[in-house]
Amino acid sequence: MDVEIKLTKKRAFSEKLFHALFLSAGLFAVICVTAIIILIFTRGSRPFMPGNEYGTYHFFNFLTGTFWRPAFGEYGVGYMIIASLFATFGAMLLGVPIGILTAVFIAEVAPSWLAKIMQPTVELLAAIPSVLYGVFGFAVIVPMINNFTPNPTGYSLMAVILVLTIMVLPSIVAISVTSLRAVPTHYKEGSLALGASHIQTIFKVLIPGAKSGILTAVVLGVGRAIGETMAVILVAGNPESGVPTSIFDPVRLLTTNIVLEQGYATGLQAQMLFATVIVLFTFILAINLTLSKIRKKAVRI
Amino acid sequence: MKRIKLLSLFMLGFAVFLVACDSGDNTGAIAVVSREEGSGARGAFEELVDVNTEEANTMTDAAIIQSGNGVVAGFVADNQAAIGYISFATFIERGDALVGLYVDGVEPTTANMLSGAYTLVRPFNFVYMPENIGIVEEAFIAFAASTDGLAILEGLGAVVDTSGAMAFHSSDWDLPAQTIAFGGSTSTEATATALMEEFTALFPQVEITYNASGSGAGIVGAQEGTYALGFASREIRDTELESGIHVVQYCVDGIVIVVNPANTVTNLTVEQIRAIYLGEVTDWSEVQ
Repeated sequence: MDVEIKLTKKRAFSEKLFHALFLSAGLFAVICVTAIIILIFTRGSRPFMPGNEYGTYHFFNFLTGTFWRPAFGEYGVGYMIIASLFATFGAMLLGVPIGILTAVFIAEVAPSWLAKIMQPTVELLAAIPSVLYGVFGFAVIVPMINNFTPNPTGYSLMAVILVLTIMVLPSIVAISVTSLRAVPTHYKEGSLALGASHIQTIFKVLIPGAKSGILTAVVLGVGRAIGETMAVILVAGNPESGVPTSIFDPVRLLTTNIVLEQGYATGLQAQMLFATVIVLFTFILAINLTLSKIRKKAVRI
Repeated sequence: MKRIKLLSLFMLGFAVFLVACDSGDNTGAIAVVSREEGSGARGAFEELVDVNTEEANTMTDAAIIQSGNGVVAGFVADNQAAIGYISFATFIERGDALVGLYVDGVEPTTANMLSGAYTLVRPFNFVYMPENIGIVEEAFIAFAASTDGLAILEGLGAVVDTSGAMAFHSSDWDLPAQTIAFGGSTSTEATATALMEEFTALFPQVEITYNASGSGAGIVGAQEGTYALGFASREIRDTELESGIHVVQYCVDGIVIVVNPANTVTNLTVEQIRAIYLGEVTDWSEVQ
């Protein structure tokens, strides 16, 4: 009897201990997110509040401004928002079709030995540190664009888009392959039995069947593209003003703006960099909401 | 239909890559590169060339912004149409891939920078009132001029005159425990604090503070005695010398204008450099 009670006590204790351990681990992440959000929003909103110690800036001018000239107290991120959206859209325009076709090839078309080589190769792209993509862009893509751009340099929206395209591929491919393979085999068999060719089956049955998974992949790709910093800072050109009017124009993105100047910034400039983070954070939040909507929809089906 | 759309998108992407392999030539238009807001080299360049000093002379929108002297050097080495500015120290390291332009006909060399013949330099001075100086300050002044002090400054990219410099022996100095205050230019802060750190490592009983308040404030502080040494990243004006302050130029901050070796331009005037950075001159043919 005695022994049994002791054991139960011991068990109850270790149960409680591990419960606390799990709880604190979980809380750690939650606390971090909360702390980051509070920091960003309190610091970043300060320059727009009346009575700010470095002077109040109009939020509308901040969002729509096309000049970033801290020396003259001009802080406009409008042209960076446009550039970030263009860059992300462009990377999706190239990355999504390439990614989906690669995924179809790996999941359906390629002989299994080739698929076994290709999939890890594509996934290896995800493991490469982002700064290496930047160095690649700096050393290869920018000089290449130099050759035919109407502008004096190859630092451009195009260079950013090409670098981001490579970077979004692994997440698009990996998730698309998984969701293509998850389409029930009898869909495919049914389609083939009805006389559809293999390619017809892929486009009419498999891809529509994997739609929600592929959409998730695309949204994740958007998230990666808009938040990418170190790779694009080396190829974007980062001008201090100017809305891009051509794919060959240099651009400054929201992310690169923060990194370029955070090291030196003091006073209002430092607050404005936090305000830039708010804009970026809003985009990321919107992307995550979209993602969870897609997932909910997928579950319903 | 969907398949055709997807395929055509893919082809479009591929076409972009193919076009990218085509070659052309565009050495005509100038590719202007600058450092990021707040960098020391940019501050010196803007001040010396008079760009971005007021709203009327803001830098051209076309300027590419790159972070770091090394990245600018890489940019210019890769782009035949490029012009950029880097610190003299970076130029010495990366000079083989770049051409440092003569400015107003003067070559960027250590000798020309120290003599002032090369104009894109600014002196790093410290000033003091002789009556405010004690043994600790004297030791610091000797340290700054010694081979040890100059090596620290050179390591930070400053141009120094090593002729006649001697080694510093901490055993020669018997310093009391004391806290002294320096202050002045934000541009000289890095060099001053580097010297201070080495110096206080030799004499742990001494503590030195640096208040980055601007060159003018540094000089006034030295005159009034709030700073034992006041630091200034510019020449000391005659009106400021009237108070009897002593001036020591402890190093020189030099900026080199660099272009690609393929560029045929070898000399520019300060006015031409200014016009390029203001966007008034946009083609190399205008400055040949």
